[in-house]
Amino acid sequence: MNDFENIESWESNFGLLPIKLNPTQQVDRFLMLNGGLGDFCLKTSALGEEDIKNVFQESWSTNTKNFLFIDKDHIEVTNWYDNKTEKIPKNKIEFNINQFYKYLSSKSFKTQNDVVPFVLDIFRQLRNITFEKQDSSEAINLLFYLLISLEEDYTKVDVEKWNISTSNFPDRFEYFVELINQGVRNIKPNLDLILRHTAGALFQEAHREVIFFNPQRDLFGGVSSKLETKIDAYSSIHYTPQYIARSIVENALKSFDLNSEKITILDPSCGSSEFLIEVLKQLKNKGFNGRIVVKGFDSSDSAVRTSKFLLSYENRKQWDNIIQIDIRKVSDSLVEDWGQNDIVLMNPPFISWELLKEKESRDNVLAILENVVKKSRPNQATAFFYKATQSLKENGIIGCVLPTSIFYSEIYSELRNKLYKDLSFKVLAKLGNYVFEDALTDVSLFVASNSKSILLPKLIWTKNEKGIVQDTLREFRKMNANNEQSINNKNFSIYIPPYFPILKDSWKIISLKENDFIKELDIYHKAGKFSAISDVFTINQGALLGVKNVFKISSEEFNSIPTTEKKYFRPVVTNDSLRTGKIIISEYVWFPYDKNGLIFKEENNLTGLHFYKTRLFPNKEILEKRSGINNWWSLTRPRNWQFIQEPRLLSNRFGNSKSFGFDKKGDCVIEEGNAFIPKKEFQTTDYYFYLALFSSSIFDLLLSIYSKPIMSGYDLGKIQIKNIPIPNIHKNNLRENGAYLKLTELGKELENGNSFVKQVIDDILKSYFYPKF
Amino acid sequence: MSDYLGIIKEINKECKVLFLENFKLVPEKGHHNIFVYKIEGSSIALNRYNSEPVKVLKWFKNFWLYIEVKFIVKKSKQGNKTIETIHTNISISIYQGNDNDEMKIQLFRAEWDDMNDPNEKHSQPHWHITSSQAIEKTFEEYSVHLDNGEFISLLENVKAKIIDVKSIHFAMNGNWQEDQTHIHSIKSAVQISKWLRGFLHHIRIELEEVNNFA
Repeated sequence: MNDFENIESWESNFGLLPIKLNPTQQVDRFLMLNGGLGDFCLKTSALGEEDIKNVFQESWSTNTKNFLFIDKDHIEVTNWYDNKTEKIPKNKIEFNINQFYKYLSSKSFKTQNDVVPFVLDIFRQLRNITFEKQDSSEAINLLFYLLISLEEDYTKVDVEKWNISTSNFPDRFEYFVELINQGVRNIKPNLDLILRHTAGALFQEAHREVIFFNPQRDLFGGVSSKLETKIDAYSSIHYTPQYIARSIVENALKSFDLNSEKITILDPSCGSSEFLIEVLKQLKNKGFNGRIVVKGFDSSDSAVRTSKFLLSYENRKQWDNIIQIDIRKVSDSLVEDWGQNDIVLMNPPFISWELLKEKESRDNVLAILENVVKKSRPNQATAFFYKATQSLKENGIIGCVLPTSIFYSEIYSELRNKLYKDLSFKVLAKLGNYVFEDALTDVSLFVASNSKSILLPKLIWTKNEKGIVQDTLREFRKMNANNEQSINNKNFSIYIPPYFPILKDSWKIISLKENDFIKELDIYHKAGKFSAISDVFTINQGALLGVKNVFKISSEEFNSIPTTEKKYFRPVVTNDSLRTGKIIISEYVWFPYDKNGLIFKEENNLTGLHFYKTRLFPNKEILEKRSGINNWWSLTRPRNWQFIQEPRLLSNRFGNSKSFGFDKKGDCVIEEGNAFIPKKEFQTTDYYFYLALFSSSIFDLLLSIYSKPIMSGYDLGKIQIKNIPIPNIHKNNLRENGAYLKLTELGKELENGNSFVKQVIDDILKSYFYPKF
Repeated sequence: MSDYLGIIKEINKECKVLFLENFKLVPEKGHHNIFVYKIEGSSIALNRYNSEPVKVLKWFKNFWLYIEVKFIVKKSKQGNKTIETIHTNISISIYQGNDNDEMKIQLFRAEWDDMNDPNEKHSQPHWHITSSQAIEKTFEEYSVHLDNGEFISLLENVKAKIIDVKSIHFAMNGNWQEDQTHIHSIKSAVQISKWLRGFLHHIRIELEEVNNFA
């Protein structure tokens, strides 16, 4: 039986974070937060004689629709938008918790009458008439005045108390003041609730408005409220969605000792202080009594003003002004002294090296990373990340969002190794490309403490699709509240891996399903069912021709050269030649080599050749310039193993299961790819067996685990794939196995272009060789 | 004329490498002018509006397949001449169910009929979506046992309000964007085997995707 009066039961059932509506005055009224859609207000007792007007005011001002009251046998759901109250029997909800939440969410859709669009609409109109006279930070200052007018006479505002600047009010400002004070549908805005619970969403939107403002008069020359906001999908400064900030703060505080006497909290790229407000809110909720120092840096003037306004308000209303606030406008946060901190929270600027225009900014990034990222072009976020970790006190906590490339890119491997040694990881999450509304960046979440711990981190994997992350983080909260160990879902998984990193030199986060597959693979491997690819094959890199458009000729040109010269050419396998087991030849390469090496030792021996006259000699000057060659008419790196013609499996340099082929005669020359040469003697059928294996979706899965993603595939080079476990035809009497025979047959089908057999190849591999996935 | 255009031979050849289990269309004894070939299956399921039990072949995971090819020879007189026309019906059904389920549930059928009819109005080839039958059947069984059929009448009321979707011939090859028709006649065995191969490949990807975590 659910105890609905107990607020914790709501957390464990719904995965929502309960925050007191007003911690200093009310003990039983909560805002149940997920981060937008699905949030609602809740009182743990009955509606009773309460004035419904106040109830609607509270839910409207907190940017929610529903306010729930817990009665003896019923839950009363009031909804300001529908203007009604429903009584739902508790026993109905008891067994349909998920449906009930879905129902509440379905009645929580965003409307133009919500508090954020309402305030912004007024702000936009105000901006429109005052646009020419104002810069963005003055505009934000006017928004503060508009909001303050809900509580005070705006002409008599104490600017020190509110920590704002003085403003010259534009004409008709009074009109906008009246407009905001009227509210919507007789619901008067409640400033305290707006600033405590809605400020994040409101000011992020307001900033977007003032930064990307595009003024337009409407058709009749009047003030339009439908101004277009400039959208830049690749902008590097991304606002932190509320639900992300909330989850990061929650998990950071979970690992922090709240009995500390004093804590220092830093956000080195604070924006409008989404993280700082959130952490103060959650500290208040947890009853933290110590002293607090809050530091925030940002290069945007309007962001800094907003931070000062909101933090001062929070400090005055909830903390009796005991918080020491240090918000600074800086030109580059990276050169500032960040001091030593107990908690660092941040969403650093995701600016790639290429987009860092100023040399000084680049130098600042390099200076910070000089010992951990060498000879490369790091993202600015990496410098923020590293500097943040170095600014942590002992047992200090870092919680941040990061570009996912920091988790796996080779250039950051030294940084990763150092941090894994120095920090104790708490939560790592791969959130994907749909986190920032205004950007397509691949985002991850990271929480760690500067302490020694043998505990392994919790990993969160999400499918890279829109709308999944919010649900995942809600489930994560639910899971923690219910002390569950793992969740495996179609769209996400949350679990503690048996070891970390799961993959060598990478913090790549894989799904629980993939993780289970790896565990099983390991068992199979130990049982001798597999060998590493490098135990079965020598993997050789293909030829390097040297100069573009000299040595290669098309099939038509090949057909037209004298027959006597044809023997100096070989079919060349390039990126376009391999199609799921089939080799398609459209070009030939000058390859004057036999088993003893270069056939033409002297230039004189070549001069009679048509190819010499038409192609080689005219390019002699360019060809001679190549370093590391003895004869200008030779290829730069022909690869000696290609002198001998013998059967080989071939692959592209980058690709996937579609990028393999079998060169039965061995007369092809591979360029931009790899050749797989058996270490022990092979029968022809063995090649077909491995061709089928390499062309399967199981092999794609193995590549996704073992190799590095590049372009829309993987690096198929020796270093990346050498440890992939495969059946070894020299062991376990494999050739006598019926599945072997079937796979060789299917390998032949692939060679002939029948890629439809891929699915049955997978069936066989799953049934007879690999663990279930 | 028991294997019109060599369709059966071609399908058997093509599908031999597409299944883990042995695939073979085998002839069934029948009427003198009707030649029916059915897949050799290992389990039982109901085909076509619950009326006809058939043997289905295990495909992958818990999906099963039934293929039936029928040639009907029609003779007609034109003056003194006897004209012979062939009607071809190819029907492929996909079922879902565990090995030990008594009956598997039919999800949908893919069909290609060529009646040599210049006035053909249905799409050829086409889909029939049939999975709702299983849900209806469950409700019906529940209702008979537990509420004396009250629920059935409710269900019937709803059913009466909407059309019977399973009877619709959903186009499979409506290449309208290229100004082509959605009605295609059967011309060769290779055409059929390519269609079948593509059909199986495509629908398996879809089934795997949907079934992955279901």
